[in-house]
Amino acid sequence: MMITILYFVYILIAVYIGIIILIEVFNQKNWKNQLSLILILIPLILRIFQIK
Amino acid sequence: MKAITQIRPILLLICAGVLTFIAAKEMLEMRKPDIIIPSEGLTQKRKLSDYLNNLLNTNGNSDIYIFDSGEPGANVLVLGGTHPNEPAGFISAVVMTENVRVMKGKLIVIPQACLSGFSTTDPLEGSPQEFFINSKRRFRFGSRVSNPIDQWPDPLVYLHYPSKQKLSGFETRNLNRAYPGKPNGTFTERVAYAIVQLIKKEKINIAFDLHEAAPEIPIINAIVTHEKGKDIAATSVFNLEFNGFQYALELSPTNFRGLSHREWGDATDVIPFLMETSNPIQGRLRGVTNQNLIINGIDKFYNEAVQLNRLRITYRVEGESLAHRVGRHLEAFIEIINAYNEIHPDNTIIIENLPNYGDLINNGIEKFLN
Repeated sequence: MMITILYFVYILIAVYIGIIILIEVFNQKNWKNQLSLILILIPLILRIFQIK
Repeated sequence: MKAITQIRPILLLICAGVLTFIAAKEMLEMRKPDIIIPSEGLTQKRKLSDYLNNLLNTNGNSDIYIFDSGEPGANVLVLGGTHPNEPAGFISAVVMTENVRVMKGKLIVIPQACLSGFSTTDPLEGSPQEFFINSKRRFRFGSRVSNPIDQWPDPLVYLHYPSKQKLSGFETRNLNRAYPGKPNGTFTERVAYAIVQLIKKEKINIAFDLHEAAPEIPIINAIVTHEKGKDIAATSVFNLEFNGFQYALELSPTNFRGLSHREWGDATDVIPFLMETSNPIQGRLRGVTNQNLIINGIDKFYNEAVQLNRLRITYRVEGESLAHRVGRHLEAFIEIINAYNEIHPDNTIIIENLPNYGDLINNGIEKFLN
């Protein structure tokens, strides 16, 4: 795995977007929007943990 | 009502957690190494980091299998898995590693040259992650290039070092566009550099890079070589054709940089050869993309395309099976070695117990796996 400054910046951005999406899941009233947000969260989690 | 709106996201998050776990488990399966059981002729096992220290503890630290007879003679290098989505190259190197006995000279085999590429698949291709031979031996089917986890981000334009040739950004992770490599360059350039260092330090005389390509690619069934290797290639193509194997001889273009058959020949004393077989799973016309296509190489759309006869397609009605493709690689390898020995009688190599095309077709690949 390549550990560079760019790597940390990337992970920080991914974590930040992940948190925003998570908050938005609770703010949304419409279940379809909630489902869409959850689906976006899955690849973000995989990227944060450098699995994919 | 408020309770429902709070419970629903929590339930959805639990679902997302389960889906993430399943996906992660599947993806992490690709990091499990392939098992290779070398023959009794193995004298030493090394790592690519022995030739470039900064590859230690990285996903580019490929295994190197050395079969040294102890008798002075030619030194030969074989690379499989330069492109991990070309399984015949990889499996040919595995069959060599699991069977050979070297009686004179030295044979070095790197079955997974681009080890990183074996830990992922190419996006949007729908490729299987693995395939089984005889339901016992599992091998990974990887990506054409290094895993982006090991080298990221791709530039818009890849500038080859040192020629400054421009290629698509994706090619920055292609091992066969990275030679001669760079000791402190990108991950893929470092892997390429280590291989070139191996060629120099081990004084390799003749080297092979085993590949595959889509059935519609014109270079299929060709032996590509550097100017230094044209006599050997011509002799071996003649002998192969005489034995009923259709082959073409291609000279490495001098202005297409980064490829093994060009850069190995220019940067070292080695005589390089690159060989291609027809691999339907890489083709653009293919239909269902699964393990059967890797093993049996049967695709109805390629069959139809061949019947239409509007393109030059290398595809047989019975399919391009893995045994057929591996058999062709091994047969061509044997003929090139024979031609080398004929042209260099003072520095020969003698390799025994290597199956040829007929052995693989008659007995299957599984017979030659330990």
